[in-house]
Amino acid sequence: MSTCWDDLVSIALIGTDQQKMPELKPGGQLGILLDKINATASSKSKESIILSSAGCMSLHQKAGTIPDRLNSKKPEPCGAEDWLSCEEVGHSRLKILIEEHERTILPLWLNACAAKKRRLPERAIPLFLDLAKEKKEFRPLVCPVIGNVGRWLAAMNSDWSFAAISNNVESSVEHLEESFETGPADERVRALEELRRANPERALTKLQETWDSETISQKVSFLDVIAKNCTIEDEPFLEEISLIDKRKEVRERTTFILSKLLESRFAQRMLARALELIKLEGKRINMSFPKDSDKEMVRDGIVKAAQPETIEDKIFRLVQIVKVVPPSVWSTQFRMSPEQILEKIEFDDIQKRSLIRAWASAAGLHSDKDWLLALSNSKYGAFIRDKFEEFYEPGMHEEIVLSMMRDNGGKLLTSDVDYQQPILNALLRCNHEWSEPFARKVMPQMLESIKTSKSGHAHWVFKTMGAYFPVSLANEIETECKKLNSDFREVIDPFLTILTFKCEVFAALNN
Amino acid sequence: MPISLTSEQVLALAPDASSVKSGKDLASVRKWGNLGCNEDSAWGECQGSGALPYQVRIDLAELAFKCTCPSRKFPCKHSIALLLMLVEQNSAFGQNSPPAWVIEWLEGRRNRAEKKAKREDEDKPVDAVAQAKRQEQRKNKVASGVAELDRWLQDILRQGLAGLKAKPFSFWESMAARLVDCQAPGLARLIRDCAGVASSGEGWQHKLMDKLGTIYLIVEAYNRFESLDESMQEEIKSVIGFTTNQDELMKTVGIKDKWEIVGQKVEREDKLRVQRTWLFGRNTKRWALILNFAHGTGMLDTSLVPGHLLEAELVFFPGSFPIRALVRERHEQCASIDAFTAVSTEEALQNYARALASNPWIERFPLSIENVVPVRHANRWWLLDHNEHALKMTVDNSLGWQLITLSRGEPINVFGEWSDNEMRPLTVKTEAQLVSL
Repeated sequence: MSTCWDDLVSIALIGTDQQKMPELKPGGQLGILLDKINATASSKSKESIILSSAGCMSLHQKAGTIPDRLNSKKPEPCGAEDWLSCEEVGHSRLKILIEEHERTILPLWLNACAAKKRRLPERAIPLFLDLAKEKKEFRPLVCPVIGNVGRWLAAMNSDWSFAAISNNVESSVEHLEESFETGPADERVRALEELRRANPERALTKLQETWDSETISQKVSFLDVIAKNCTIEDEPFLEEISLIDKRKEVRERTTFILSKLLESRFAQRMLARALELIKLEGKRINMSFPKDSDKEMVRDGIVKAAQPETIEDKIFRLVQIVKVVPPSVWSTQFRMSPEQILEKIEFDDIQKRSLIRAWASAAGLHSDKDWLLALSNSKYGAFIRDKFEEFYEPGMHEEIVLSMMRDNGGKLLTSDVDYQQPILNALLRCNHEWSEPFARKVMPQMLESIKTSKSGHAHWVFKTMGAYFPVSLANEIETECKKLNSDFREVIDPFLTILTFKCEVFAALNN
Repeated sequence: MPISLTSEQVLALAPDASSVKSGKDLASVRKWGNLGCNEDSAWGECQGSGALPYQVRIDLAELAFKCTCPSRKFPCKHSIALLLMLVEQNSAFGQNSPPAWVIEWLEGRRNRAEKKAKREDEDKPVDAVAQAKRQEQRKNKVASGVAELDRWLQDILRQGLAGLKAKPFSFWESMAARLVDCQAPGLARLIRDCAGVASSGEGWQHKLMDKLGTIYLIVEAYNRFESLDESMQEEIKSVIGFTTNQDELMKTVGIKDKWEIVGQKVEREDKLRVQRTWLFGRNTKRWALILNFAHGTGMLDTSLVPGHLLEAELVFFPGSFPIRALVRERHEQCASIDAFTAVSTEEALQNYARALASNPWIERFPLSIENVVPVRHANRWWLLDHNEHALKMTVDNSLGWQLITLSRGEPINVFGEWSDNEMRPLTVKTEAQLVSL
């Protein structure tokens, strides 16, 4: 049959003007039918007979469709799930969540999913894997909530290999080791992460085995994995291998990790150096400068400034030491609160600014809330606030906004012009789920600012904050909003629309 | 609420993506006043840009909408929002008697339906002579169109298909337009379908020959029209594009059954949207296809929601394999179903072959297959049954991966349209859920 059909199509392709009529003898019932069509040749044209034959053969093929046989096996079923699916959220809402609230509600919601041990509905998983494929920052949020089915699915598509490894601690160490050895870059990072959870000692051994042959970016990615849950067991590797790496990026990342590991030899060396440089003498805090960098200092990443032997160079090296030492050291050492210490420093402007910024970095690095607040509330606050941004924990952002509001007579708006409203800008950094006490303190002021200000910036900030407002206070704020004049609907409605949507998607996690 | 819908199903009623978004945004109780519902209807007032709020009402018996907003979309965003709230926030609706503007509308609908039924019952005087004359004129026009098509197809064969690759779109369009002039719009559509095949890549000549051969069978059949039995004549008329008088059809006796609303597909053909809803009779074991058409964002039928059971009498368009139908009378309200009837791959394809034997021009056939596993192989998507038989699927990657995820590697039941030897899935039943795709 297929030969007959091919013959027919060949003739049709070139045209009957230049071809003879083929003899079509497919046999069977179709053959009988084609014979009947051929029998009309005396009264019909060649073209008519070919077209009629084609119609019959096409029909014969359709009616006799035989399913294909694939040279592949069915995939093994993915097995049972540990977590319930949050099916109630609905596919269309999840699409909206990705398309319209990617930077705001989505990260909060994914975190909430993981916290409540709910996984994404099956149908939505490819959407989320595609999102995480395109935007790496979503991988740590998406991977924990795709369930076994998501990991099973990811293993079938190399684009999603970053999610293919099981979250289950019990997943076999051999499988993880294999992924670490042979997988693509992203998968190796995930494998190391899982391996550290399953067998930290083995993870370190595997890392040491391949370290010398790794690329810089791969080394930095592995160090990021270690930074997440670093312990003193990792210290020998970091101190003896990673800290002396040829590449500056790797060494810098290593010093960052070791700085946070207070028991490490590195942290102790830096502490000893710092204590030599900053001292309380009588009632005065004195500061001296490090001598020329010796070999050990260079090894620890303390390098010279661009213009060596100048005062800037000396300050530069001092800052490199102080900024990694926990600021609480000074409170303990001098038996003073951070506020008292800040009152006592009396250096020239350059030295003072440098020390304050080094302390700000250290407070951020070690998440020292007391020092952060003291610095923020001090006369140097405005000068070092930008320094904190990358280190702030969610709670700290709220504290900063509240402290700024206190300084401003409890109000959100200052006399500054529109886009330079410092408190509103600080509020924009509160892009996390607000705590209830914070929301209760800020909201009356937000509503007040809508009424009293025609600032487009203030209105825009208010609309945006619907994504972060706590779901538990949604009814309360809605009631308050309704009390506002309808002139403010343009501001209120988008805020409530976003908040309502957030309430809906979060409610689905509670069902 | 007599009809049980999910939020997903409500949003699927929206005419376009922007209506989905707007409907969702409006589905907040605080934007509404006087929300209420009873067994037959739901209503509410939504403040829009005008001075007076829009009055929105839904007939729940047949899922019909009415809103006083000026939107030309149907259902409008307010209607979608109201129904969405009814599904998701039912407690916000008071259980009271409807306001006058709802009662008036419902009564108006009932009166219009009764009048229509009455009109249909009354025998209108028909000018038999004029009618026969019109039919004869059309017959002649179609005959001339078919004759021209016959010559045109033979010309193509004489010169060879290879030359068609260089032909512009207008080559096909001018023949299609000629067929429209000859009152054969069905044939015109089939010719337009051929237009892109020559540039469709590998194997195009086989696809085109297949299409041209199928069209030629219509030509041949029309030339022997009088010698064919009545049901085949109806089928040919339908393929050519003769319309059936639906008022007359509604007078005929239909088939009563509990119909599973198995799947639905809306496709756009230029400015026209075509909605195909597939029903399967639980007792009669027969398929029915309800077609609806809307221009632009105009009204499509919203009363048939996949995943529901409809107890109704359907009347079928005449033909050798009657499948297209109209809902003549609904007996019971819809209840949701958690599964649909499905058969083995083998049986489904046998059913298709039998249908082809009755009507060689079936373009889409409903296949409802049980216990198949969606798989990806050689960059294609397949449904694999327990005998390792594989049916090719027409799906994009996004839908393909969704199907695999929904199945979790376990067998599922899939309903879809079978066309050109490929399956286009519309609904799946997994162990846990029924999902309209």
